[in-house]
Amino acid sequence: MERFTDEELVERCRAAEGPAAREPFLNALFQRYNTRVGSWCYHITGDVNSAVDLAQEVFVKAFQSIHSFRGGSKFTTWLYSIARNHCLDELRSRKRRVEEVADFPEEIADWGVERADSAIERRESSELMKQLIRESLDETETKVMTLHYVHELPLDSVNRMLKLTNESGAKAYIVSARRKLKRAHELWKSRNKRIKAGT
Amino acid sequence: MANRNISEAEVLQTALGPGRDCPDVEELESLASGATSQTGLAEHVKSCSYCQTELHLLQTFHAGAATKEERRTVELLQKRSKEILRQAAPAGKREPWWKALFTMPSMAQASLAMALVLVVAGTVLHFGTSTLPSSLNQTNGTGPEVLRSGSFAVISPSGDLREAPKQIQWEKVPNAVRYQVRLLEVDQNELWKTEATDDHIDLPASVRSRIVPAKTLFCEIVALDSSGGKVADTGLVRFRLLLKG
Repeated sequence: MERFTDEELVERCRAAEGPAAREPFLNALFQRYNTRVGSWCYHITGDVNSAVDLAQEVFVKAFQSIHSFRGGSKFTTWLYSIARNHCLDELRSRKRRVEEVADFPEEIADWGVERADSAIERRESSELMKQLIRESLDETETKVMTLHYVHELPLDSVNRMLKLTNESGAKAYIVSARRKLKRAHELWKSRNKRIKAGT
Repeated sequence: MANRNISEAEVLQTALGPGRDCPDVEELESLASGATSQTGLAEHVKSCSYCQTELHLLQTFHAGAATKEERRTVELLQKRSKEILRQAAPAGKREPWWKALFTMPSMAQASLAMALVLVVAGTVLHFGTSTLPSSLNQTNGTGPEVLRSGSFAVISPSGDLREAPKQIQWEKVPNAVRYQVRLLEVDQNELWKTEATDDHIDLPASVRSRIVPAKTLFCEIVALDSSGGKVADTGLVRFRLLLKG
């Protein structure tokens, strides 16, 4: 089995008739990638038993839909997509996000909740935020913010994903990032005021 | 206070989230491994915080088990290999019957001949429709029959979207009395399944909340006749949410 590429194993699996004939090829793929999937799931959950459950679900999902793997991409990329989507969906379903919003009560800026429905104003606010992030935050702060706010990873998952070793971990980076963004936004506002006053 | 926090979270999510130029995971992998050298793509990834984070996640996946807990996880997962393979067994049942037929070399020629006979018979039947009941001669009134190829189009959603879709809309199919609608993930996991009698259906809030940025999804509509038989289908139509608002 070692001489076959991943894609060759998938093809042989598809061509095999019956579960018994497919098993050696699926097993070969499992042996190759159980380390990557298992440790990725541990990064997400932080708990060995739930990581094993999650990794099992990822493999079952992948093997049950192996007929949908397109030969144009690498098998590892496809497997990674399944693991990523499954784990992030699992986290979202736990609804931890609402609890953690309360950890950062101080706003970065008053975005104006009464205008939240305006698509144009929301887009402008996001563009401004993008610019402030680019100008104010370092690489680690940006990654922490992205993992927490976009992928909705809880702070302990962010710590493990980024291997943060400082005492307060991701929370400290978020507090620092939010402080920097608040300061940058205030500077931008006063600059804007001066420009408007000057015209 | 809660409303403001939600609004700020939206702003952060959009600012830090994927944009139109952000590559999918396959392109990112190609770039990371040096298999592609598109300068424009490389420049974008270098300067995009979302892509940098995605790259980090991908590299973490490939790094393998480093800590004691990760190794323990892998050890326990290894012990479940038999169970995983047992649960994975139904994969073979999904293979379409026509594919199985063509993998048997001795049957391939016979199957081709049969297919030719069916095409000829179908052509004869179609051009000799003067004796058929008029209801079977109907078109949809807008032009050529939709069903000639056995497929029809999803009008929306498809491709890259700036807003999460509120409904799915498709071409009406003659002789169809209802439509089976499915939303699927990349790995064919079914997110939602329902039926409709019109040419569109609203997406419930619980389904819309699962349409998140950068996640590729598929919709598939199957048109059914009064006896539940398939009249036509759309195949899998891909869409992906890019930006909110």
